Amino acid sequence: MSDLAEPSGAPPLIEVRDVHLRYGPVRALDGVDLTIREGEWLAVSGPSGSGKSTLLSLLAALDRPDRGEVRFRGRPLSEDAHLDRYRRKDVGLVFQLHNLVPNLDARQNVEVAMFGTGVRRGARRRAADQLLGWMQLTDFATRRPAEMSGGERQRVAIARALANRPPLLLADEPTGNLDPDSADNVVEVFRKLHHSEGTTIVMVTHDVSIARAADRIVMLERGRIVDPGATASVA
Amino acid sequence: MTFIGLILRNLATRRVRTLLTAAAVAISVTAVVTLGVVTDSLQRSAANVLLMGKADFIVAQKSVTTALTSVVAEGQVAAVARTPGVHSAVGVLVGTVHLNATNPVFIEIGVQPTELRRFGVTLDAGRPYGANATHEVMLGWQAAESLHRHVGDTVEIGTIGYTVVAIYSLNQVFGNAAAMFPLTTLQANTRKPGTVTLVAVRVDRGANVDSVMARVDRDNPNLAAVRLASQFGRIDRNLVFLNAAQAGAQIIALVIGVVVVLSTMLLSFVERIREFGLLRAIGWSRLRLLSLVMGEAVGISLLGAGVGVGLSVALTAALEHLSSLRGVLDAGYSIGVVGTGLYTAVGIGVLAALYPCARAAMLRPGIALRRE
Repeated sequence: MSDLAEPSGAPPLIEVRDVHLRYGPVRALDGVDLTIREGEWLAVSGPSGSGKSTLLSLLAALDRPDRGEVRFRGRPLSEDAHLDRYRRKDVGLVFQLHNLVPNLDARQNVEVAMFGTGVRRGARRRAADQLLGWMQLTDFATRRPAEMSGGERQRVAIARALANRPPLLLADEPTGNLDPDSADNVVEVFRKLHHSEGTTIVMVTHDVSIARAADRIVMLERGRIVDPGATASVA
Repeated sequence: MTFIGLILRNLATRRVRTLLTAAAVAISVTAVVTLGVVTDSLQRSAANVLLMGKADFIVAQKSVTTALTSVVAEGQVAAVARTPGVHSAVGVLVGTVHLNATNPVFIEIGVQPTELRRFGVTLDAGRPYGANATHEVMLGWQAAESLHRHVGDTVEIGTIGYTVVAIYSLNQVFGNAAAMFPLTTLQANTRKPGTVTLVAVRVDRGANVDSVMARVDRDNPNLAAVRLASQFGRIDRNLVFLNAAQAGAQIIALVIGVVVVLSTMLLSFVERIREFGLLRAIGWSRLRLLSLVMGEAVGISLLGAGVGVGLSVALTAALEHLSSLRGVLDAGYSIGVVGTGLYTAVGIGVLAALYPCARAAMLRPGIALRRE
């Protein structure tokens, strides 16, 4: 596959090189090449089964490619010893189904991402409260997921993803289960993150209107990149 | 929130499962601790019965079913007395009789009146029985109190009426709760003429007790010299069997505990695969996830240990009041007993958590998160 257009002169944060991955007989990814630069907001779009979530899962080091390589700041994501740290410090994950721990309240769900980072208990709590405040969820700190709406849960999940101030935020259909207002809220949070914090965002979505918020849209079909991306081209 | 707080919260959230699993641990702990306490108590009781009297060691028939069935001929007593280094050897016949509901296992001791002082008997009141008196008895002070008898009273023991001629004290509780008879009288009543149960031996001043014991062992192949409770298995095979049965029952209790806790933890693991996958996905290391699973198992175990030790105390207290065990079972609880409960429970928890921990550690987050 051809490499992507380079929207800026920023250094590459993530490089995907000739990545293949099969789930049994299904070719989920079939020779994907992609470069994502520091500070970029990238949307990955395409029909169901095109490999969007699989690509994200490889970027998050949740799965490993059968062939090819994913590099973060030039370092391959293949060494077990570094993957935990990568997932903990370098990347924040937001899923379509918020994936909060059901028996923990919002604050604890954020705090749980900070275990093992060396941050002390008091500092963890303050950081969690700050993030929830930023997500306008101060009043929800002691609520459990079951006591919150889908949009609120998703914002808690974003707060958790940002708990360790990662340079890269990966979001898999973050608005997929939300009503339009809640979806707009989530996009607005991403926009603020992108502009004020310079966070690199990779967002998988099949919703073109949501994808348009990104700097660049990559189109996937049958495990291949069919459009390396320009925001205006997906209309 | 601390990591331990998270563990406790997880246990509290699944409280029914936590309590049921802890109950399984508690049952195992109860079995292990109760068996240990009861066996230990019975061993101490047996050893105390044998260690009555002022002796450096005792000699009895080797490897009999129970120590009380030991048969030592009076000629063998004399042979032991002749062993170099032996100062005195007192032949003692020990038997038991059902006296009444309060005294279901009443100890009878037969000693020649001339040997009473060497056996360590102190008379608190009265006079020694005659060497051939057939209806005279001396009561230990605890037995006298229990039976409400004084010097000059009559007491019926095993359908025979005896006159209480003295109240005595010995060096330990079993002796003080017993009755002493002239040796020949007890031999006649129990149809064991010319034999005793054991020989209480004192060594010469300055003699090495172990050397003298070894000499007695060597010179008398069918006798065994013992001085410590741990050596009593050489005489009383029942103590050996009791220990073996205890060990076997404890192993079975442990295995059952491990299997029950393992099945519960595995079920919990399968239900929480997505949660574990999520924790791995947000950067939890294998070790931290393993610590969470192990911590929950240990938490359940500690709860089970507390309940189990409590149940064991209640159970042994109930057993102590069983008429057939009254006076024989004297359960003693110590730090060691609580420690045994704790080790057992934590052992069950750790063993049961090993496999779920291994599964959790091997979990690939991507696969776990896709799991329905």
